[in-house]
Amino acid sequence: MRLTAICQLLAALLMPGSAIAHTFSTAYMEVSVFNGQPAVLWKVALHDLAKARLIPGEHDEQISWQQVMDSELALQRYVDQHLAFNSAEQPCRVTALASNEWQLQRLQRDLYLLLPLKVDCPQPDNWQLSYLALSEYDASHKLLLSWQVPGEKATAVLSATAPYYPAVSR
Amino acid sequence: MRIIRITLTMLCLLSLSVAAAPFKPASDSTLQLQPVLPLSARMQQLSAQLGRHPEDNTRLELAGLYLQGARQPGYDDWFHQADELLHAVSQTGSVRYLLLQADLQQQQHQFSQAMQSLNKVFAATPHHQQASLMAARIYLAQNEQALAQQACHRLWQQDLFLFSVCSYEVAGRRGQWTQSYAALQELWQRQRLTSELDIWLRGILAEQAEQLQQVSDARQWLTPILQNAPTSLWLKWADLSLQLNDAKPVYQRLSHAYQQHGLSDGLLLRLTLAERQLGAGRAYHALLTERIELRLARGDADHAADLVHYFLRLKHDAKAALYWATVNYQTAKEPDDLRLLTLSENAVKGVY
Repeated sequence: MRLTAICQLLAALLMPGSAIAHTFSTAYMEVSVFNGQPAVLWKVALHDLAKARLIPGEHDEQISWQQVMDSELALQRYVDQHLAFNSAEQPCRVTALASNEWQLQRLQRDLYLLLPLKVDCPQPDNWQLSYLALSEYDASHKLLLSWQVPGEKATAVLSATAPYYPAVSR
Repeated sequence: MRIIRITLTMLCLLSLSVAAAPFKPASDSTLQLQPVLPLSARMQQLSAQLGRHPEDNTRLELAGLYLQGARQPGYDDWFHQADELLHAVSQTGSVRYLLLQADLQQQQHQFSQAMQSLNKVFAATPHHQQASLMAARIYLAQNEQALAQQACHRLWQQDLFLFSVCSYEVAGRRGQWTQSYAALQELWQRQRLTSELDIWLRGILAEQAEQLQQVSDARQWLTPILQNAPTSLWLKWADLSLQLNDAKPVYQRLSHAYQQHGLSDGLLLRLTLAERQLGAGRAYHALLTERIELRLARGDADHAADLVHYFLRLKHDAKAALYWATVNYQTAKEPDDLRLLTLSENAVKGVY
């Protein structure tokens, strides 16, 4: 039987209806207000940052906290390119705080970097977040957003196909 | 639907708030990332080669190996790697690419896209064996038996054995379980099979035996080949064992697999059911609950069968089970999916 090629496929032919769900990449973000500006805390898995090669050095299963802190410049560049705020359709300035302000937290049994972001907007309201981070490394990546702005408290899920909050441009 | 939305919002809030306290480690502290799954020698070789000379042929071979490996328990993360590699392929018209793409798409339950990929293969090679078998499988997953039989028919004059197995599987799904089971058993006894073919045929035999209410026999088809079987058969084996009130081997084998490389949600759910059946604590239950809450918070509707099992068998929330069983049945219509839908409908009516 000419089965060499077929054999590679046979596992795929067994009950795809009960096929397996993948592990997913998830980040969290809390947006509140401080001194009339958005105060943002981005919680992103170290595993995802390592996968995106944002943490310097060779690492498979282990990294040091120093290596994480050494990613400050790379992370700022990444934030500039993938995360944006607008107010009344004018861009805000988004700055990752220095690494001595960073912390870690264990969420869903993974280690997450708590990265505070300083946002300076020209307007005190009508803010909109655009989030395009990490989906280029994992199409399943999603952001669970907690939007704690007075009068607009909400939660939302952002992804590569739905990257804006609020969803409709104002 | 409204209840579900409210529940999702609450869970979303919950997942954001339930967490360990933040901390700042010392600069020389070592932090543990998720374990890296071990690559085979060939995969290591191809990865290195890809670093030096990024070429489509290397990407395709490596993507194929990731896809094959991803079906082992605990290795589901490799589907992402296969996906990434296929995204990077520049020539997307080759049969090899289209087959891998179709395989990935059907695994994601994107059945119509998978069929589009396979139809491109058929346009070039009308009787392509792999494509024919995969098409039959996809049609069966959608409960399209006539189309599945047509796909099997492409194998006629190509390979009588594959044609027969394919056709008997379809005949079983058409309700001819007794005749098909007998014929497939005879085929199985007559042939000297490679390990892969043996696993494939035993998977179909197990389903047919189960449909004939021969639960113990169904499990017996799977037990000898479990070590090398894909996750889908581990799930079936665990379900059959739990049905037979034999949770111990499920607990032993799945907890061992969990310690090695972790488990996908479906297998973790069976491990949790075994844990409960044995009265072995609630450690896996807590872990599974975290995972399910995260899936709900993310609004992931893929592979909703896991959610049906969770709400039906662990959480005992019949309405949520029915919601997800309906979502699941919109894409996957295998006998197990229909059974989940029926069980959920009965649970809502209070009939168990």
